Parts: sequence; C-alpha cells; structure tokens
Amino acid sequence: MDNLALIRWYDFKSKRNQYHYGCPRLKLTELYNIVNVEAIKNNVHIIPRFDKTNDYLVNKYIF
Amino acid sequence: MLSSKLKNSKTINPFKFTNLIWTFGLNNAQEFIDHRLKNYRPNSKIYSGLEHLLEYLTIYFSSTNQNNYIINIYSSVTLENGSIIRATDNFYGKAWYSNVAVAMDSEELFEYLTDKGICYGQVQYLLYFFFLDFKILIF
Repeated sequence: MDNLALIRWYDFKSKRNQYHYGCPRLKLTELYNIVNVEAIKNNVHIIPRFDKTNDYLVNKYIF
Repeated sequence: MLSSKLKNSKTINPFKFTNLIWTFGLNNAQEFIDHRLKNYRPNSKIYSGLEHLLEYLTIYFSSTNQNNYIINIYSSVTLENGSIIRATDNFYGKAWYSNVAVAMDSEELFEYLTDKGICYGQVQYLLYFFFLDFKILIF
C-alpha cells in the first residue's frame, strides 16, 4: 500500500450514448482520488474531439 | 547506523519509481505545499493538482493516527507490464500527464458506469510513502 497515484477521473460524457465507434466517449471531471498503483492496468491514449470542449475518445484502435 | 537499518527494512517494490521531484513529511505537508504553490501559475495543472493533493492525502491517512510519514513525489513509474506512467510538468520541456486505465474494485462496480470494469483517469501525481519510525533515529 505504499505506491500511490493521485488521479483525476474521466466520466462518460453521456449516459445514453457511452460509446462512439466502439470507443468510450469521456469528459474530464473535477473528481480526484488517491489510488494504488497496483490498480493501474495500462496507459491509454485519450484524444480530444475536434472542435469540442471537454469531449474525449479513448483510442481503442491505434495505439 | 541509520542507513544500515533503513537498508535492512527495505522490501522489494514491483514498481519502479524514477525522478524524485519532492520529498516532504506528512506533518508539514500543508506548509510545504503552500510554499510550492507560490512557484506555479494558478491555471497550471501542477497547481490545481497540488491544491487537491493535501486534501486527498488527509483523507487517505485519516484512518491512521500516525503522521510520521515521508512522502516522495516522483515524475514517473514503470508498471509490471513495462508501461511508463508519467506525471510531470516538464518532460523535456513539455507537460506530460498520462491517461490510464484503472481496474475498479469488484465491490464498487455497481456504483459507477465503467467500461467493462475499467475507469479512465489522468494521473496528477505519483507518490511513494514510507513510515519513518523515529525510534531508529535515536542513536
């Protein structure tokens, strides 16, 4: 329990349409938490959507 | 004497933290963070992260009565699978805060909307803490 990370969470942008083209569509929230590094499974590529504010897609196809 | 005791108590850590940025004691964390905040622009990520850091550290350690913890803040950590996670304002001149997939506790899964048990987050700080036992400082 010694390895920690302060994380700022993303949440789904819309509860009804959670995915776009199979990719989770997210917004950055003001929620933070301290989590154990053990819980971090991987790096992810999160890309801002063009011409939109606080609207992101998780790149599931090209990494 | 101190160094030999510390060496003996060292356990193997599966995660490799690199690039130590700061180190401070939990009991003077407020003072340390207030002092650091003066050096950053209020709209920078490191500033907003620092503002939250103490709040969440306090929550995290609230269950323990001890506050002799030493907290080291690092800019990167290597996971067991070899991925490097970064949280720094200056990685060769650029800010780099990794986006990560976090596996949620199975008991909490029903409380949130997740992507098949995974939530996404942006790493603000990477920290390693250890308990400083003052007894070993008495020679």
